[in-house]
Amino acid sequence: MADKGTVTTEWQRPSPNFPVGKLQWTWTTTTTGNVIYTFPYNIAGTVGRFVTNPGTTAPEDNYDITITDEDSLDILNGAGANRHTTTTQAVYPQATGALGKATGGVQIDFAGILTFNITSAGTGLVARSGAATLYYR
Amino acid sequence: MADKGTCTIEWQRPSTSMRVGKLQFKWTSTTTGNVVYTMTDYVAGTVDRFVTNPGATAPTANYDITLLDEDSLDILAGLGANRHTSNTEVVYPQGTGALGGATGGVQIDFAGILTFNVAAAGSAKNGVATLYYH
Repeated sequence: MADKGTVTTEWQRPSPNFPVGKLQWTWTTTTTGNVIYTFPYNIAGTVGRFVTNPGTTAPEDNYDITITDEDSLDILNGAGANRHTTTTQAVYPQATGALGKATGGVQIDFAGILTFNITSAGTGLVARSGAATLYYR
Repeated sequence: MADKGTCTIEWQRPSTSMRVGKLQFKWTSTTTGNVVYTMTDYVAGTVDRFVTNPGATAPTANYDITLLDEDSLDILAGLGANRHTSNTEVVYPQGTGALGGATGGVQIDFAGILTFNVAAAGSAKNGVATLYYH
């Protein structure tokens, strides 16, 4: 699938003195409210915190973000759904399901190429914008 | 926002041989009881423990501390609120909300420039706050 929308990234890898890394996507949608951006570098770690900050041309309420791995699994485990149109939000994705407990309890490992996806961020042929930041170790 | 009050920091970064870092803020409030201090250096880690120790010129009871990241989110998750005027206190911030569990359970990662804030401390009061992280 071809990339859609525009994205710039800022990436700070974890290190012994700075044990948490940060990958930030600054995004603008297509006029149909979507973004698809495949990060070109191999990245690996454990999901810590995910923050969404709507931009000045705000996305519509309840826009959705996923970050999918090479198996098309969402490493946010659905916690990027229904983001707010004006408020900066933080979520703490955890694994659920088989032995991950119904209410979470296992943080999510990832390794490989990640694809950042936004849907439902806006209609009316207006390009929306915002930033999303993954903190990981 | 301009910096307010005075604040000096003592910072010991984590390393392979000392896995817990310590970031200590030694603060004195303005006459309106506030401190705003933005660090100039990048810092990254996972919040473990946050300790508040009122100084000799003790802050007013229930003074508030936040430690904001670049998105203006409090990496203490509100646990720096209502600090004691004379007791040293410790809290263990955790993330709540979507999949973080209603009562917490996920430690809070941070990376970037942090801003230390004190409010409602009273005029020209002082104290020390210490973030332990890994």
